[in-house]
Amino acid sequence: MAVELRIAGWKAENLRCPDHQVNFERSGQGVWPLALVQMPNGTGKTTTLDLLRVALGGRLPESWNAQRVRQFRKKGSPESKGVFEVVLLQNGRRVTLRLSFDFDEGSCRFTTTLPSSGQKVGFSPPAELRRFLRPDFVNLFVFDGELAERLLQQGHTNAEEAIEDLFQLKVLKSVAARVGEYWEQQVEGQSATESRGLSRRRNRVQLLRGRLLELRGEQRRLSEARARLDGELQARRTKYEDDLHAQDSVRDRIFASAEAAREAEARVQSTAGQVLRDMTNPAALSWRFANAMIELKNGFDRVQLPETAAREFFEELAEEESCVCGRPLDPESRDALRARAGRYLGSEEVALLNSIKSDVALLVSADHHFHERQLVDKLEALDRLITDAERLKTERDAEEESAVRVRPELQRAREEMAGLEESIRALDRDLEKFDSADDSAGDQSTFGIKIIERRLKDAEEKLAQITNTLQLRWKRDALRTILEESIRTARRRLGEEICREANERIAALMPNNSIKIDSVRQCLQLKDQDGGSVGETLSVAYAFLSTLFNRTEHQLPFVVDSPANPIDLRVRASVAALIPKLTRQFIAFTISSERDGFLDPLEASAGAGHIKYVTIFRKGDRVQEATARREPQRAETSDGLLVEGRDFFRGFHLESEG
Amino acid sequence: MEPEIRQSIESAVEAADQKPALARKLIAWCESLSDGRESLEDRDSTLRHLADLYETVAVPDSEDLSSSSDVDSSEELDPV
Repeated sequence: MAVELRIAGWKAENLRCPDHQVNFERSGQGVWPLALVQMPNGTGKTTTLDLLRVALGGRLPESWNAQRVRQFRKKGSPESKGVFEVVLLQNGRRVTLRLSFDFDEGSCRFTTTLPSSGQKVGFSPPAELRRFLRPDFVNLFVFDGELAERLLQQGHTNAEEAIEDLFQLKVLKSVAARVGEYWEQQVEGQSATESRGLSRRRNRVQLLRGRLLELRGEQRRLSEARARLDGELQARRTKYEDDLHAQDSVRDRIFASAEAAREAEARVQSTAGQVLRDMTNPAALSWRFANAMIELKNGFDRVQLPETAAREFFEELAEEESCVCGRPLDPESRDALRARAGRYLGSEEVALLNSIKSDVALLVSADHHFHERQLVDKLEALDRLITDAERLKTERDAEEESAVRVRPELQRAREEMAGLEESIRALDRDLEKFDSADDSAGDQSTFGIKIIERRLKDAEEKLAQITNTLQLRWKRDALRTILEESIRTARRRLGEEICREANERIAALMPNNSIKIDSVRQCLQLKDQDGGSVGETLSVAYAFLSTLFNRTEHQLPFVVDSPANPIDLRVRASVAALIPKLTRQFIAFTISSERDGFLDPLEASAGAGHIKYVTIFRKGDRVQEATARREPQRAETSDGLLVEGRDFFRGFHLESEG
Repeated sequence: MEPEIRQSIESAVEAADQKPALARKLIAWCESLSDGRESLEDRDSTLRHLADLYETVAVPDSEDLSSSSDVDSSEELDPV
C-alpha cells in the first residue's frame, strides 16, 4: 500500500528553542502544501531541525551523552523535563513521536502514540513507516545544504541507498538472503554438500552395480554348470543302476541285502529317538540327579507350601478398616502390612513350586538308579543295532562290488559318476562364497551377494541425498544470481531514468548552466566535473530528490533548511518555481534575508493562498513583540512568540539579521 | 513495484534460462512484501514462498551438477 506521510505539526517545551507549537493541518484539506517557518538566527532553528531528525529517525545519536542531552535545557530554566513532539499523518492516521528529556538524569527517551495501540514507550511506528523513519533516510527529506553536498560526495552512498529504499530494491536483497538461509536449513546435517562428494558417490554406486552384476553373472554360470552336471550324474546313475540290475539273480541279491540294510537303519533311527527323549530326564543321566530332585521335593513337603497365597492376603488386609483380630488399622499399621507382605510367597510362586513338586514325583521313581539303568540298556541296544546296520550295508555294498568287478563297463560308469560328484562338490564350494556374510573386505574382494546388495542400497541412498543437496544448491545459486542481476539491472535502469528526469529539471532551474548528473554510483556523479558551487549543489540535490520522490507511489514530506539562502539570486526564482512541484508537503525554515528574490516567485508559482506563513522569534525585541501582539493569529509562551500570517512574515526583520 | 524492477526480474530470469513462471512468482511475492501484505517475518508464509521458488527453478541433468567450482567439504569417507 502506498504510504502518504505528512507532518501535522510539532511542539517544543522547555528546550533551548523558544517554547512553541506549529500546526500545518488545514481545516478539512489535509496539510498546507507549502509552509514557510521563519526563525531568525539564534531562535533555535538548527536545534529544531536536529530534534525533528532524531524524533523521526527513531535513534538517539551516539553523541547524545548526558552532557549533550543537558545542553538542550532552556537557559536559566528550573524545569528538569523537556519535550519535543512531532505529529505525523500516515494516510490520515495520526502517529505521535515524542522525545522526553530528563535533564537531571541527562537522559532522553522515545514514546510513540498510535490510535490503535495507545501510547508505548520506545520508538514503534507502524511497520509501513519503518523503512522511511530511519536516520539515514530521514536525512533525505529533512534536508539541508550539508546533506545536499553529501549526495555528490565520493564515499557517501545515500544517493544510491535512497533509490534502493524508495523503490524497495532492499526487498529483493532480503529475499536473496532468505533464499540462502532456506538452502542451509534444507541441507542441515547432510554429510556432503559439494561436487567432489557427488563424483565419489556416483563412482561407488557404479562400481557396486558392476560388482553385483559380475557376481550374479558368475553365480548364475556356476549354478547352471552345477545343474548340468547334476543332470548328467542322475542320468549316469539311472543307467548304471539299470545296467547293474540287468541280471535277475544279481538284482534279487542286491535288493534283498539293500532291504535288510534299510530295515536295520530304520531300527537305529527309532531307538536313537527313544534314547534322546529319555536323556531329557536328568534322573536318567545320573542317579545323583535323581537323588537331588527327590531331596528338593522332600524339602518342599517339609516347608508345607500354603494352599492360598499369603502375600495377597496381607495386601488385601492392609486395605481393610480393621485387622482380623478386630483391632482398627491405622495408616502406620497399613504401611507395615504392605511392607511385610513382600516376605511371603504370592499365588504364582506357590503354583510354580507345587508344579515342580508334582513333576518330580511323576518323573523320578522311588528307585533312584532305575532311570540310569534303563538309559544305559537302551544305549547298549542302540550300539548293537548300529553295528548290525553297518554290517548289512557292507554286505549290500559287497554284493554290488562283486557284480561290478566282473563288468568293466560298470566300473567305468562308477568312475565317471565319482568324477561328476567331485566336480559338483567343487562347484558347491565355489557357489558357497556368494552366500558369505563376511562384510570385512573391500568391494572387489567381497563375494557375498547380499553384502554387495546392501552396500549398493546404502551407496544409492547417499547418492540420492547428495544429488538432492546439489540440486538444491544449484537452485539457490540460480535464484541468487537472478535476484542479484535483477537488483543490478533495476538499479541501473532506475538510476538512468532518474538522472535523465533530474537533468531536465536542472536544465529548467539553471538554463545557462551545463551542470548535469552523469550517473548514480553510490553518490551522484556529475558530468565532466567533480563538484559545483553551493547553489549548484543544492539545485542538483533538489532536482534529484524531487525526481526521486515524484517517481514513487509513496508521498513524503520535504523539510528544508534555508532553501534559497546559498543560491544566487538569478537561480532563486527558478528554485522557487520548482518547489511547489517537489512534493505535496514542503516545509522550509527561512530567515528574513532569504525572502528577496525567492518569496515572490514562490508565491507566483504556488499561489499565495496555498502557503502557510509562520514566524517564530525569541522575546527580547520590544518593537517586534508589540507588532506581533497586534496580530490576530499568534501564540505567546514564556520566551517566544509565534505568529501566523503573510503580512507579518513579509514584514518581519530583526536587527541581528540585518 | 516500479516497471523497471519488474522488467529487471523478467530479463534476469530469462537470462538464467528459467521459465517465465519463476519471474511471475518472484514479482508477486516481492510486490506483496513491498506493499506490506506479507512480511518476511511471517515464517510459514516465507517458507511456503521459498519452497515454491525452489520447486519452480529448473535444474540441469545431474551430470552437470558436479561442474560447480566449489571446493570439497569435509565429507566422511565411505566404508569399504
